Amino acid sequence: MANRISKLTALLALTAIIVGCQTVNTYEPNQQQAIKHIVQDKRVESDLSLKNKAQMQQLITAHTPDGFLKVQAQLYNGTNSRARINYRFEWFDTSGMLIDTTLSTWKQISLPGRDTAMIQGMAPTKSAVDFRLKLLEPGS
Amino acid sequence: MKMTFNKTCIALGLCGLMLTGCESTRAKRIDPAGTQTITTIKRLDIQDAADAAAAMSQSLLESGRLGKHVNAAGETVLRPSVIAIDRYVNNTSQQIDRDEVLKKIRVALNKAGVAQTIVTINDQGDLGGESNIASKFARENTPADRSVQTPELLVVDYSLTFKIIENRAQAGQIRQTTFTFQMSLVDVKTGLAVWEDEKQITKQGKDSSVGW
Repeated sequence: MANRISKLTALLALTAIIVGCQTVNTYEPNQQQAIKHIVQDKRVESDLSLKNKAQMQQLITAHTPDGFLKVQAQLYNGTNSRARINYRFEWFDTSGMLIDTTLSTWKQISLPGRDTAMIQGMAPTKSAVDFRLKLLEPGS
Repeated sequence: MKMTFNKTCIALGLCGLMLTGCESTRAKRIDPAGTQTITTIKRLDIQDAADAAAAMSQSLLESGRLGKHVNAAGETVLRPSVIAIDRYVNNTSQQIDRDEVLKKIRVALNKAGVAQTIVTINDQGDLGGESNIASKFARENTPADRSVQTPELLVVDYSLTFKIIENRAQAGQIRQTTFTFQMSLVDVKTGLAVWEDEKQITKQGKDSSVGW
């Protein structure tokens, strides 16, 4: 009886793993033409589970022709399962003050396992010179 | 000893559950811009409206269409563009106030210093907009034949059209609703849509939930 239960448990676990797995195959040019302005980042990572689901690979900044700061972050899901991630950009002016804006809303992305995604933020004013990106696991 | 430990664990667990349960049902204020808001399947939630407005504002700012103009001498002049709010079409099954999304976009553009909204023109292009006093002033200073216009009317650069579409699907007990937000910025002098964008928000599930 105990043996049957063990087998059933193993089968259920296997099914859960198979169903949960959803990874992506990615292809891109070996030599990229774009010239990126990569930003050296400072990290405070308090959620280790989220750190694996949304690994920060690259932070790139650029300015629009009108002078608005644009930020793009490349996230990598290090698990084999699809992960939902909430994110938000905060913007700071030359005095280091937080800019209150409707553009700083929480947004959500759904990232397949072993896949990367780009999330983008745009400064609400031309006076925004710094930013902070916050990631949060849904339901937390 | 083991029995006592188990009983203590169960008691503590039940106590925790009760405390958590009480906390979740008691009325409290939450951050409307946070992630603890209610997510419904069928309705346009406040976070959906905020998300759509942010995406549209970002796209408009990125387009570089606003805030710069070419004068009669062919020189580029930097000044906030004047926008008139055009037609709003709500093709959904629910009543959605135009300003639930549009006002947020107006605020974002205004704070960015690239656009200002004219409030003396209604969505038919006639005098009489959101501001009664400013509309009255404009009416009093504009002859019926429109031979002379108030300075405000002369500088309308763009009109903004806005449409929301809803699409529903169901598979068994799982329901799905997609809201599509479409927006166009039209140069009133040429009639050309100089910027257009679309944002879709899709929600799927069985029941509404707290948080997202």
